[in-house]
Amino acid sequence: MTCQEALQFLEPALEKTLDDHSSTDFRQHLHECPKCSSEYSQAMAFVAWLDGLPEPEPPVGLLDEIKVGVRSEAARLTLARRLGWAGSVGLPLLFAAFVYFFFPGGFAGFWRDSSMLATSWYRAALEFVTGSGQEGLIGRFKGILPPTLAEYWQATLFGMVLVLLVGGAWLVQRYRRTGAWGRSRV
Amino acid sequence: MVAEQGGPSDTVLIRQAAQGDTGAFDVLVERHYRSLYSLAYRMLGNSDDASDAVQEAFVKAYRALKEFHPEKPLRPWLYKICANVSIDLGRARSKAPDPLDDHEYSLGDTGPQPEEQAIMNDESRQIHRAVAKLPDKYREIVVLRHFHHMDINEIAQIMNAPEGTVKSWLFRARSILRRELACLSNNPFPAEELAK
Repeated sequence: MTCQEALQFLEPALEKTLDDHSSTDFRQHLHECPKCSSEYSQAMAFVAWLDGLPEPEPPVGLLDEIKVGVRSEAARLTLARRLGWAGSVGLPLLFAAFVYFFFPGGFAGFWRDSSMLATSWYRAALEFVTGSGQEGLIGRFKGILPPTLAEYWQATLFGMVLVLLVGGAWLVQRYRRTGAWGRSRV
Repeated sequence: MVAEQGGPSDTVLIRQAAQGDTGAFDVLVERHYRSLYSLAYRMLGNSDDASDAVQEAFVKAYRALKEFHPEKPLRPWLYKICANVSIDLGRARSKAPDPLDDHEYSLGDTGPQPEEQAIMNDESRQIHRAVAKLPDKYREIVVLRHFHHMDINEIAQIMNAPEGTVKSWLFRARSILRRELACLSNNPFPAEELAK
């Protein structure tokens, strides 16, 4: 075994993970080579020193601080759970009540007006993207795209409301479970 | 899991805590906060940050308790949380400039706190500086292996890495550490000491 090979076996030898054959070769080399033997002794002493370093003592009062922090988190989670349930049920109800009582024409008015509003936004967006001319590739698509969303609007609105409700409920339930809105690595 | 100090086992306490019993979680905190503090201290190198990390780790553990399987050993799970928090905190601290750093008459004492001085001798300080310079995963391995005396299998579980990979990281980390300590002016392990 060369010194170069022995050096590669040094760390595995310290962890006692060398197989019998390699271990015998390594020991033999250490016996013959004072330089590698010294290197191995140093490494062993270093590991022993690392293992024997004193434990740091936690500061006085840390235990109480941790307990206070955990209790505060427990209280926050309890509140979040209650708010979560209230939010899951209450927010859609609040929205429906607002539309029913305050929107001109109630649900039917909201349906009609939102349809008109969406159509006007859609037209503006279409105009913005394709421009007023009919030339070019985008201009050709203008003729293919529907001029109004009115006929699709009811399905679109239904889909949007569904996505919002399901997504909102999922978010609220997640908050109830984890106590955090954002992503949290454990 | 074995009951510690004659009290209920961690498994029982985890079940109780998951049902909202903060008293049960307090007992778990009392059992494990010292080792978590030690881990965070070794990784962050100062008492204030280590205390913050341990507190944050226990809060995160409490939050995630319902997702933890009570039959599994608690210690590796807590270590994993604490190591992650310490790494995140260390990164945040290294990015955020200290506003007092540039001040000529800075009141901030950059040296260790009094309690740190009491527990740390020169050798410890040297090793902490060297450990602090290691990349995150190497630092975590060295701390778990040599300061918490965990075996490779446990470390592999905590780090979510194959045992072979952990071994090679450990060897590499130790080599870097030895080289780093050899370069320090006040090397606690001169060659003649090591050779003894």
